[in-house]
Amino acid sequence: MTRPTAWGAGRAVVIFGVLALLPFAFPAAWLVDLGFFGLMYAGLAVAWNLIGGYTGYIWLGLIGFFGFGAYALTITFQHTSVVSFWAPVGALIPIGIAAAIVAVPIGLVLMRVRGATFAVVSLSVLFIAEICASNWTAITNGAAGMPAPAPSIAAANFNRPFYLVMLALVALAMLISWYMRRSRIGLMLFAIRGDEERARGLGVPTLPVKLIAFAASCALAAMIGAVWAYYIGFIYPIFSFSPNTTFAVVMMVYLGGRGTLWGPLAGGLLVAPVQEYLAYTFGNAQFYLIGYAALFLIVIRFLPLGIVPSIHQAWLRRRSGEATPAPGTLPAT
Amino acid sequence: MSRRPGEVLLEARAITKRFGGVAALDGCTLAVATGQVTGLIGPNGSGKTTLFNVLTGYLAADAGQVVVEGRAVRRPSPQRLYALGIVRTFQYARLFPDLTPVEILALAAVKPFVAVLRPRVERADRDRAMGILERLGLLRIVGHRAGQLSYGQQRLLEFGTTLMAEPKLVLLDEPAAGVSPTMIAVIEDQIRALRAEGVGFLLVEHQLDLVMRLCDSVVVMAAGCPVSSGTPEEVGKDPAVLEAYLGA
Amino acid sequence: MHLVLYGVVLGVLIGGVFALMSSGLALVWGVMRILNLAQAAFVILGAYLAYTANVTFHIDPFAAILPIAVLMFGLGVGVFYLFYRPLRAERSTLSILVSYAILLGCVGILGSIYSTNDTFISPSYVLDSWKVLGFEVPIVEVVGFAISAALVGGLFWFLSASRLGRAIRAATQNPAAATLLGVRTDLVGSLGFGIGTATAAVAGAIYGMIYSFNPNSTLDLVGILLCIVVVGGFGSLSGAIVAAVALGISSSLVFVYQPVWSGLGFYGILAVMLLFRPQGLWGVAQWRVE
Repeated sequence: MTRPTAWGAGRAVVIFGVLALLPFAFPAAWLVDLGFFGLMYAGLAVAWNLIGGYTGYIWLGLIGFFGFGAYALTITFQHTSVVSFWAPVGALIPIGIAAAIVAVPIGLVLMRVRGATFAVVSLSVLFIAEICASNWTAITNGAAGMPAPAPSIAAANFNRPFYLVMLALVALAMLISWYMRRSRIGLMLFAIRGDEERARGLGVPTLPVKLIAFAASCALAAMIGAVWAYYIGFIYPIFSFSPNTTFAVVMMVYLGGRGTLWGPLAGGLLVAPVQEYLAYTFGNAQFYLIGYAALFLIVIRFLPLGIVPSIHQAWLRRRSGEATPAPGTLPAT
Repeated sequence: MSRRPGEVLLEARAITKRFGGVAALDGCTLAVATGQVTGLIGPNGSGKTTLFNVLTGYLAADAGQVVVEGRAVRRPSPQRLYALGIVRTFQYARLFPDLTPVEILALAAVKPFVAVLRPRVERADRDRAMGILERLGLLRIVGHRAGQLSYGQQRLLEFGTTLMAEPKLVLLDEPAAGVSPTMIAVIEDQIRALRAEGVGFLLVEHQLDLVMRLCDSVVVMAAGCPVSSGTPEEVGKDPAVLEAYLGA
Repeated sequence: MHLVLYGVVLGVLIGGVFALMSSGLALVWGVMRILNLAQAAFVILGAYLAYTANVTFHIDPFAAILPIAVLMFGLGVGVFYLFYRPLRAERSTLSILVSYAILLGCVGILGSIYSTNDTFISPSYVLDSWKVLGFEVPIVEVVGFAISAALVGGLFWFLSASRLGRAIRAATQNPAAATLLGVRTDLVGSLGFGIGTATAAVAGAIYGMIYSFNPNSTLDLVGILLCIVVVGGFGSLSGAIVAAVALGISSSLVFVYQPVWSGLGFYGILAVMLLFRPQGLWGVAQWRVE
């Protein structure tokens, strides 16, 4: 169960080192752009996995907090002229904290229900956020959108710093995800996923631990949303609170392997750049939707565990030279 | 840990619980003592499971109190009662399928909330868990996940969680249902050993021979409240019991 | 006061159409434990089919309802066997995601066929109105309500009186026992799914005469339909109907006074419901001990 930590840490250093060097090795702006979106979706997938993967709650409101972060950053710097690239970056931590604080009362209401009802009601968080952003014109300028802070950076390699900031957020998300897994809270979340009533019967403080995971998930999404707004420069409600983004993130987690540490990252990094590339090449939002739907249906049908667990199982099988015991095949005592 | 046997630990005081118009519990009063095994028997629908769920905080009573060591528990919840040393098992065996036996036992250890940030399974918990698995004869399943275990193994492991909690009182919901005779013997031995240490048990069980062997006292429920109580022999002779089972 | 009454009348009429939309959702959840978010896409698909029937084939949209229902029933059965039947483990949670994928796929397909611009179905009488209780009420809303009420009533009759309906209810209440008694749950499920799809499409044809729509309207509808089933109590047909009418009235009243925020009316009710009665109006708690 527990693998040597040095080996895990080494792997993390190598993976993140390679990701950090990529924009220097391939500096073409469009490639760095693809990388940025790959990291953005990977980070959101890791954040989603804290709830959707670890506790098994189908959490469809995550992008509501992504949009919250985007608007929080934009509104904060609305009347200030941004001189330094780093000023908005410094606002990320307060935005994350604010999102976590907002998440607690929302989580308290949402966590009153479970299963399908939770999925449905959490989706309404997204719709409510979108309605607020579209209609609260005094603050958000409504459907017409708002310009995000625009820093003065050299035109050459202008998107490299954004890429690196996003990479740092992904690393933070992975760190939180890893820490939760290896600590008792992760054990409790997995127990809740298995059988919440029984977990309560073993004294697991279910509501507080769910809220911690929920707040962490929301805070990460908000910080990622803020960087996204900063990068694209102009935000609209429909793109900030998009159900399509929500679905894409969930799909990536399922593809990579929900509940695993590396699966969501792999899912995001694999799918998002392809998606962005196809969007540039064909530029048709309709085909994008159809393609996404088809891909997800295929994943659910043929790879229900996701890529990472499937590879892991194949590896285990190869190593032991035989099939791993299937559930229920053990002899009864 | 050890305490005088016979001291009242958990009480139900005049508990009423209705589902729709039907009173599953009707002014039910019951006391469970330490160092004793109290059997709870009665025909189906007599309110045993409902009483269990109220006593463990899974159901809120419409009226009445759950009292632990003389103090009424405000807004009882499973977690609160667990922290007070009152633990339970369930009728169904399916344990957390993704977790290993050691993880499940570690989960059951009573810890302050801040421990959620401590490692997943601490060394001390692992050692205790291994000790419990050894006592229950489950050492050879250590490498499996609970989802891979047989029904009996899962029930035994679930019983193990109550050992891990260092409880004052254990509520067992049909522990022998679907379990092989060898495993029942293991569970029985463990119950006797814990009783000797002063732990109390409340046992809902349909296998009357087990109840007769194990219980120090027996309470018979009918229509939402106890109709008879005493030693197994006394209860066996009480005409009210026969009436409850045959339905007057 | 007059305005309030008018709001109530319009709310009841549109609530009836929403009741028809959500009855299929409640039915499918009840029978198969499938939460079919694609219901909203089937509604808009129904609206586009009525539109095409009207514009291309010059068929009156109300007359087109029958062929649309038959067509969409077949589509529903096909979708069930293709996408939902294979789901075994975690059917109810996975169905949410699968149906969301189907929904997005439908939005994409409709968008590439019809473009994403707003459109509406306009038979010659679309602007005419009748006087009902002293209020000018659009004809399409009255006829649409009548059809919806008849279909919802028919659905009730079907479930309570017919042999197939009883099989469906048996499968709802206890799938395992129903299987033992010889009810073929997959067949029954697919028929239930087909019925749900057909009623959604019929409701969509009516919806398309009352409101303008585009492929993305699907996403607005998802939110509304989900509010209705949650407030009504999952899988409860009567609950869904009461919730639909209540939400129709409340949103039309909010619209009278606060048009900008009328979209939030549904969610306000949802939030209140979650706080005080999480299982919904008619629902039972979705988890139990033992």
